[in-house]
Amino acid sequence: MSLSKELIVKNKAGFHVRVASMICKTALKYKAEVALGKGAYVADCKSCLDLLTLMAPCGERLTLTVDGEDAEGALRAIELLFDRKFYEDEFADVERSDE
Amino acid sequence: MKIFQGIPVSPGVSIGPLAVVDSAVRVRRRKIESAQVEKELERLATAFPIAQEKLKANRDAVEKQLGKEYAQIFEAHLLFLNDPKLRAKIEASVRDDLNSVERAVEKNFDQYADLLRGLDPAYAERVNDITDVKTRLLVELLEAGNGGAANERPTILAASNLTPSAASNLDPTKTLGIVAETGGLGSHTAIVATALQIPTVLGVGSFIAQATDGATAIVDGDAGRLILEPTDEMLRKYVAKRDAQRREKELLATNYASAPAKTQDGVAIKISGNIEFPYEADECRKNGAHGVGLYRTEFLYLAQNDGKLPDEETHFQAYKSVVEKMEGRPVVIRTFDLGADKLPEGLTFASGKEPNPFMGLRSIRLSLRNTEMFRVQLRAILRASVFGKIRVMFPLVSTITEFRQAKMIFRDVCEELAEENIPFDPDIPLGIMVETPATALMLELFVHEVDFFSIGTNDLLQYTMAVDRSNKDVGSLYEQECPALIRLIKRVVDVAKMYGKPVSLCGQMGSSPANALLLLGLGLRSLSVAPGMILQIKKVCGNATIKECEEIAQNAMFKETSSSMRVYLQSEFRRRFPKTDEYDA
Repeated sequence: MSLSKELIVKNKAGFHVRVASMICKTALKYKAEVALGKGAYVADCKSCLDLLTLMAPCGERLTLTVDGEDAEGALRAIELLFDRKFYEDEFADVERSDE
Repeated sequence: MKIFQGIPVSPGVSIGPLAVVDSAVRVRRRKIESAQVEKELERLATAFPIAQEKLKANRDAVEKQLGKEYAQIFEAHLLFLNDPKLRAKIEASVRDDLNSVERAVEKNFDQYADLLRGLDPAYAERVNDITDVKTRLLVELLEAGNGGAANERPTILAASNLTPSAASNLDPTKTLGIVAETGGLGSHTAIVATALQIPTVLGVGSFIAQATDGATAIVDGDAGRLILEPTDEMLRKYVAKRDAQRREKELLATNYASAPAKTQDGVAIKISGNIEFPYEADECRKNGAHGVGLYRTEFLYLAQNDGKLPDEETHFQAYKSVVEKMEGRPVVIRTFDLGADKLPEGLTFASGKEPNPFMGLRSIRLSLRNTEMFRVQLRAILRASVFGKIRVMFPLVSTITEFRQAKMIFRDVCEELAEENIPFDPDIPLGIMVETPATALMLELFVHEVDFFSIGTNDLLQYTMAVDRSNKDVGSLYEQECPALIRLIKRVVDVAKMYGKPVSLCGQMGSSPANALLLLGLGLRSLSVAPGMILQIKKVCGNATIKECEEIAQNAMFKETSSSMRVYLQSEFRRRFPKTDEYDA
C-alpha cells in the first residue's frame, strides 16, 4: 500500500538531531519504506543522516510517503510526532534505539 | 625540494618515509586490488558491531554517571552508526571504487559532514558528532589490523592535526618523527612527543596536500623545519647532522649520567624527570635523575578508548611500576589534570559546551566535582605508596579552599584504607602546582598548609598573558621568556624559601638549557625536565657558578620584552657553550 500526506513542521526549533533521531527510530519500527520530501529533495526516514540533510525550519511543509504492508501505521506514527511538535516542550525522553 | 617552516617542539633530526594520515586516527589513504574486496568488506562487517557495542557501553556509563540527558547524544550516534544508507555507500565505495575500507569510511562520513556544514552554520556541532562516529569506526578497523597492506616500517607521521588521545597512543618504535599542520609548544602532542623523544615540528601550516605517502622527508625538530623531497645534498647534510647528534648524546651519557648535578662552585642541584608513561622512568634512572618531579597521570585516561574510566587496579599497576623503577627516589604523582584540551574520548564532564575550556571545568576543579573518580585515583596512589617514596601534587589549585577540600578527600581515603587494613605510607607530603597568578600572589597563605610547590610554567604563562597557546592568531604572545612570568617565578621562589618550603619548577621552561641558567639565578635548586633533557641540563649546571647565574637573573629583570629576554639569555648561554649546535632553541 502506498500513502502520502503533507505535514507541517510545527516545533519552534525545526529539524535538528533529536528530531531526526525520533523520526528515524519510529520509521525503523515499520517494514514500509518511509520518506520525507521537500520539493524534489527526498530523504529516506530510515537514514538519520539523510534526515539531517533535509533542512526544515518551523513552518516548512514536507511530503510524507509510505509504501509497504504496514504503511498506514507508519504514517500515523510519524504524523503524531509532527502533531506533538516532537515533544519539544516536554522533557524529551527518547526511547532507546536498540530496544 | 619543498621546505616548510613550523614550530620546533621536540628536538632532533629524523629522516624517513612519510605516513600521511587522517586528522584523528592513523589512516593510510590507499586503493585495493579487486581480489581484496571481499576481505575488506568482511573487515567492515566485523568492525560495525564492535563499534556499536562500545558506543552502547559508553552511553550506559555516561547515563549512569551524569544522567539520561547527557547520554542522549549517543542515541543519535548509534543511529548514525546503524544508518543503512551510509553503510550501503561505504560498501559501494569499496566494491566499485576499490577504496580500502578505511578510506571508504572516511570519504562517506566526510561527505555527509561537508553536506551538513554547507547547509547551515548552525549544524557545525553536528559535524563533530559525525566525525566522532567516524573515528570510532576507524579505530575498530585499525585495531583489527590493517589487512596486510599496511606498511610496518617506521615512518614520519604527517597529519593535519593530532588529537591528544591519538598522540597518547603513538607507538614510539614505529614513529621516526611527527609533523602536523596545527598545534604548537605546550600542546599535549608536544608533551608526548618530547617524552618519547620523537623529533617533532607542529604548526607547519597546510602541507598535507603536497605530501606524498611513502616519500622520503626530513623533520628537523631543532630548527622547526619540514623538508619534502629533499635533494641529495640536503639529505647528506642531514644524515651527517643526525649521526653527530647521536654521538653527542653518547658522550653526554658517559660524562653526566652517573653523578647528581652540581654547579661549578659545588652547589647541588636536583634534576628530576617529567614523565607521562611508566617506561619513561627507565630513562630517568638511566640519566641519573634525582627522582620523578612530575608524573602526569592523564595518559591513563586518554589511552582508554572504550569510553570508560580506568579502574583502581589500572592506576595502581602504573604507579607501582614507576615507584619500583625509581628504587626509593621520590616520585611526585600529579592527580589527573583533565579538561580543556585533555578529555578522554567519548567523555564530557562540563554541564554544557564550554566557550572557554581553559578557564573552565578542568584539573582540580574537575576532581572536586567528580569525587568518586578522584577517590579511585587517590586509593591507587596510596596503595602504591608502600613500594617507594610518593608525593602527591594537585594541579591548577587557585584558591586555598580547593587545596583544603582536596586534602580532606585525601585524608578520608586514607581512613578508608586504614579501616580496610590496606597498608599505605601515612606521611605522604601533599603539594600543589603553582599555575595561576592568583596562587603565586597568595603564596604566603599557602605556605602554612602546603608541603611543597612546583611551578607549572606552561599554564602559569598562559594565565598570566591571557593567551590561548593553541590559538594561531595570538599564539606568538605565548613565549617562555616572558618577563612577567619570570617575575612571578621569582616571587614564588622567594616566598617559599622564606618559609622553608621546597619549591621546584616542572614546566617546559626548565627544559631549555639557556633558561636553566636564569632559573638557577632566581634561586631554584630543583628542576624537573623532560627525561631526554636531564643530561643536558646537568651539563649546563656543571659549567656554571651560582654567582654568574644570579648576575644573569639580575640583568634579566631589566629586559622589557620576551624577545629581548630571549636574545639576552641566548647570548649568555652561547658565551659558555659556544660550539653546541644541538642546543639551538
